[in-house]
Amino acid sequence: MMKPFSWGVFDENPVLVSLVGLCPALAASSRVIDALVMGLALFVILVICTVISPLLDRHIPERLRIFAYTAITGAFASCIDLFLQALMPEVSESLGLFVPLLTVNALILDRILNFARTSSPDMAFWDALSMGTGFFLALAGLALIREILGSGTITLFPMGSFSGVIRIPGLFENPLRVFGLSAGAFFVLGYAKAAFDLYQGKGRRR
Amino acid sequence: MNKGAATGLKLSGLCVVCILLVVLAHMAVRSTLERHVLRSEIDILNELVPEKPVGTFRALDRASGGKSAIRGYYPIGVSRESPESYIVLLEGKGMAGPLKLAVHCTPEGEILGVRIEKTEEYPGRGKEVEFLEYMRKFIGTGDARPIPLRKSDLPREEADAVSGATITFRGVAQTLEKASAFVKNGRHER
Repeated sequence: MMKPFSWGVFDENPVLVSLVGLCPALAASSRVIDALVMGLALFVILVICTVISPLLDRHIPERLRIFAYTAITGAFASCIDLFLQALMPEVSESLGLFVPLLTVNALILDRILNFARTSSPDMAFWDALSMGTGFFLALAGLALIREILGSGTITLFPMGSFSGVIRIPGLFENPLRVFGLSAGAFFVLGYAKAAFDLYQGKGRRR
Repeated sequence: MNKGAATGLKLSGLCVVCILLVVLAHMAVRSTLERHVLRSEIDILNELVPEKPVGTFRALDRASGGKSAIRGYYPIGVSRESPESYIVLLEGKGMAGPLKLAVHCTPEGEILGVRIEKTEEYPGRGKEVEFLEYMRKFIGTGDARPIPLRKSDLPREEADAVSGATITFRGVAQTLEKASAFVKNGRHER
């Protein structure tokens, strides 16, 4: 049971190894809070759709499945977007169109249309859990690096007297702004992938 | 029933379930969303007319037509009969979607302040409209000075600043002109 779970987190991490679903990964990684919410949204949609899809497979012809599953992911993405607008309006505004765009996220559609159909339901469920967790962790890591370097802050959920923003002395006054921009997202992703590949390569040699 | 029709029915059923799911989610959060809209409107009023008495909102039907529609207005000031100024809420058309504006005007139609309620413009293609600085070029126009409706009506440096977002600029300018004309022509008194 551990193997399929570590599969999505380490061996086939969607962001750092397979480079799938990069659009929200790059767009929602300028603040930690955005990355956490986006990662969680994708995790929820992926797990729910993976559980539902085997139930529908025998009712829908293969050539129409992509449309049917797009409708399902679209419905869940819209629901999550509505709840975000109501409960976290500031985060929802910051994420903008990228939550509804999870409807056509390559990672979700790939796992439902390819993996879930050819695997047993429990295997597909564990795959969704591991891929969702891998995406969530990678996105949170990228966002942490980008926000610390690009803004000198770590933005989390505000609670009580805690405003939600941790300022990093030195970097807050003189941030390296490029890391907060789109170009910075590619820099960080590139170096993170290189580091991940290096780590995995060393692991294999051992 | 043939196979195609059965599949069609199943897909239609699936779509109905998906729509119902979204409708249920919307019903669950509707009141919270309405509260957010109201709170943002109150914030805008406080920014535009701090410490001035704001009258009751008067909603208008959206039949005013054209590219922008007036949603309603707030009279500002102590006197009910002759308010000092008005805040008109309008919806115009930007490049990427609707532009919701709140415009503070004198009864003569001069624009005193503008705040953006909501836009869907893209960064580098009109998103700049959300910055207060963007609206400065319109302040003081609408009465003695006409509202700049084209980029050629602006001084060179301001025209350069809106380059690449002509549709958004035109959308904002036409919406502001509508607000100014609405107050100037006394249509709110009808």
